[in-house]
Amino acid sequence: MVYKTRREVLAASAVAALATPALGRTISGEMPWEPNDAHPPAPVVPGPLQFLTPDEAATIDAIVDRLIPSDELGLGGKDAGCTVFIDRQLAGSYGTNETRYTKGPFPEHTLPSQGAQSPLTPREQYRNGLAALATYCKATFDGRAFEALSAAEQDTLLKGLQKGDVKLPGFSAKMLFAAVHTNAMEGYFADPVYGGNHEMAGWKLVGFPGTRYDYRDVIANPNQPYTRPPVSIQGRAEWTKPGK
Amino acid sequence: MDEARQMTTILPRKGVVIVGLGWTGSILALELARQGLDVVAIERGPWRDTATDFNIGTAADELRYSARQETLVKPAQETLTMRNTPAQTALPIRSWGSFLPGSGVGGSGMHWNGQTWRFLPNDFVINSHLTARYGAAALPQGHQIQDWGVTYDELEPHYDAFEYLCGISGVAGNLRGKIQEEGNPFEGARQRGYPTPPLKQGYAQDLFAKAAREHGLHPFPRPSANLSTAYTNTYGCSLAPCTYCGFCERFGCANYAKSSPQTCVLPALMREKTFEARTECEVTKVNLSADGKHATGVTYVDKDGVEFEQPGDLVLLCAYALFNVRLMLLSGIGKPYDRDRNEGVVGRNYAYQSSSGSTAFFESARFNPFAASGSLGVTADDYNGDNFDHGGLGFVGGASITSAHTNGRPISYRPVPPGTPTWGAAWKRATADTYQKVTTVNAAGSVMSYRDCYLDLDPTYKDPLGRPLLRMTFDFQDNERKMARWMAEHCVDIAKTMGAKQTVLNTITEPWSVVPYQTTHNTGGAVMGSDPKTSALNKYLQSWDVSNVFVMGASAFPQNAGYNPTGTVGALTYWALNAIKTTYLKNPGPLVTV
Amino acid sequence: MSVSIRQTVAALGLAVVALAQGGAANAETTKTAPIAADDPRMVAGLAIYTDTCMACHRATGEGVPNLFPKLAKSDVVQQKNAAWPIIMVLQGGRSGATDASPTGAAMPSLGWRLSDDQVADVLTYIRNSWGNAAPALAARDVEKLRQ
Repeated sequence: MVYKTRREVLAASAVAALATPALGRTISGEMPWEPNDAHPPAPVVPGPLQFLTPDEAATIDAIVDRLIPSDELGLGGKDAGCTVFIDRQLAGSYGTNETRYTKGPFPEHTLPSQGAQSPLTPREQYRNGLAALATYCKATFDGRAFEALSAAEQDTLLKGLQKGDVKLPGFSAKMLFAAVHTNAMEGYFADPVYGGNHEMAGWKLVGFPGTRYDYRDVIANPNQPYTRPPVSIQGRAEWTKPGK
Repeated sequence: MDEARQMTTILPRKGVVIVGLGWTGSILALELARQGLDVVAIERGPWRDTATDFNIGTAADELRYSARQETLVKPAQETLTMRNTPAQTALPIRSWGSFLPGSGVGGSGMHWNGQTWRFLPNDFVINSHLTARYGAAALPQGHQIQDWGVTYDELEPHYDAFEYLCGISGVAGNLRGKIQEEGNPFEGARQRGYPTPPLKQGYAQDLFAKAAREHGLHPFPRPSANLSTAYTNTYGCSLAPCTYCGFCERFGCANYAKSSPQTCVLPALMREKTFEARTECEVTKVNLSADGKHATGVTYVDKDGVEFEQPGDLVLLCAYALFNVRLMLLSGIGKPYDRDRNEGVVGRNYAYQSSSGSTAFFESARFNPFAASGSLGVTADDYNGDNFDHGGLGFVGGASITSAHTNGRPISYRPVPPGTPTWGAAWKRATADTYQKVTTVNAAGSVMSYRDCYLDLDPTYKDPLGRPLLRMTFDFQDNERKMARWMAEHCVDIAKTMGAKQTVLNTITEPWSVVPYQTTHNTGGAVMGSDPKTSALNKYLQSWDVSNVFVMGASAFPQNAGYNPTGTVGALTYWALNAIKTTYLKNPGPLVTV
Repeated sequence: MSVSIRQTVAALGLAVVALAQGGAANAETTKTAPIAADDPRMVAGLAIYTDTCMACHRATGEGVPNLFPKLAKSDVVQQKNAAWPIIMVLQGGRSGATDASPTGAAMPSLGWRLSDDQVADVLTYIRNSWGNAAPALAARDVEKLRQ
């Protein structure tokens, strides 16, 4: 009986969902190896939103452009693709907490040192949080949505969300801010294959060369500028000769 | 129950059953297969190998491997609960933060940074040493600091074996008692030098070395499992020179340049005819005889939830330190630690590592932090262990003081001066301006053992199989907080000498938190020692209670020293192996009687 | 270059044909002057080589003993029929392992990352650098060896 119960629990659990095809293998005799066996990420391609609604995306566009403004240093969050990045991340396994421990109970009082304890998935945090923000903006700014506010109004509101001074109806302002801030930064600085960091703007901002795998020349020449351009998982423009 | 038994497939008996195929499991599997034993290693994660899983086109992916943690244990599968003090209610660590246990073949030895240290001779006899030098009253309140039951001299040949397995790059500081100028003068005597020369260092390390010498310290390049040159090890496995790509910790190495089970052991192990690995299979418990004194094998479930019983003569727990302890508690091996009554041993003396230091901002510099490796760095050990007089300082223990760049990966590495907003135009400007001009001087410190820092089973939270999660009760105690601050002040002084225009002192001011990454150096819980009342294992890492169970890993550390643990984990593995080979196999039974 | 024929051939029927042809032409290299470094194919090839190949085979094409084959002055990379190097880049390959030298280092599959043009250009670069000289490859040479 014990075993049956366990089996049911396991089948229903996130672990089963995580299973990759080549499981439960017995390996002996030699190191396994197969030709063509590579596991690259599926590149994000332009196209319709996969999780966010158009209204939600418009708000995210506006937020990420205040978090990472467009200026002489490079692209802002919107043009760098942070919204696309967030949309695709939420549509994928990240959005549903596939790796996170999600069993309750979820007590009301927790220690800050114990980390995030919310039962909400990232999808729920965005959906509920953005709905609460929309309601708040409508009531507070004469029916205007977040994206219709002036940059100064947006900044003031974002600061309020970050500190928790602004109270959203039925949703933690701090949680919404933290989610968008974390994911916007990920989008701006992750490999462009995931839909953000367009033109490697985030990497160029700091001078990070991306997936390059050999800096022996840098170590040999300390305190010198690094001049090679960044490289994505998908390469860089110079990999393609003119006319191709 | 009858129905359950019928549904469990009982497999043919094996000589050796190994739980977990990381560093310790792979070394023991290879050596015991070469003794002619039938060996099976049961690993809950997937098979992983260099060209397939660490493809040079996919390996350097910060989002996938660092932010989304693809190679770690999924907390959905197994996590811990955590609280700072025994009076609090523990809650689950829902996503990894402070530490990152690996999963899959290679274990955490696949995604480690590669800093490969020997502990100091005094570290192994720390209670006796400190008591003799400062008196018992100098030891912190509530401590359970104890000697290891093994000495540095006993371990030296086994440190040597692990270093030559890995091909560690470094420079000796004490060759058979003769101090060597370029090395660490505080290290214990070693029989021979490192197998490969030290890594080249970066600009920040050059500045640090000069400044440290001005402060009267003795800097040296820290020993590295990211190799400086090509190397072929004791098993014939070949490694390549490190290219300073800056993707070590949290990542598999794409170009065979980091010592790992994949590069150093598995190619030889897989050729052994009497070895097999079972991956994607999770051991749920070690089965014991009716009297509880003998392990009969293990039970595991495969990815479909099908349960198997694997009988075996010898059971070696080689999972991550924390998960070894949990498996012992779930299986009834050894008496669980009871903090209130202060008795029992399994879960006792959990410890961690303290981090403090200085962030140093320069007016103009190009540190090129991305050109790095997990073990690149220059260290001074003048303030480690008991290498300095603790009289009047109010703490015991020490730290290795290091200048290092392990990576410049920008999702997580974007330092800005204090007071900078976390977003907006000012943030963006500061981020662009600072990236090249900041470095750190850090102190990686010891953590002593205390009555109030321990592991047990959580009363509330369960894993998907219905088994209780491990509960961690831990905070940095006053001794460690004082030590961390003292170290950080020294780090600030050195950073100023290096030429920093602005320095920030980083030390421990809050309760220990699971959120920010600190270090995957969780120690203790199944500690070794000479007294079964205060240790779960004897000096050969053999369970006092179940003599055909040996438990590898940092779970055996009675407290943690001021170094990263893997070198000592490797040495203890070869040490235990030697006892198994030379004594246990000839006459199975307790290797120590009291 | 000691790469396991068995592994590669077992996986790809097409490769069997290509390798049979390649085997016959194994010793046949064409002595020509190397293609100029400023040729657009060489320029693109250098960029790909620097970003993808150099961390193992080194900027000099010297490789690392026991692990990464030397490409400089290698007959295998310069042979007229380039099926073998093309398959290596597309599918990856593994060197033979022995008890004395068990590593059996493997070349990762890069067919997912590089287009036919890019595979041709990086191999053209390898075939015409460090003293090597061999005819350029074109996308169609790669296309017919892709699965």
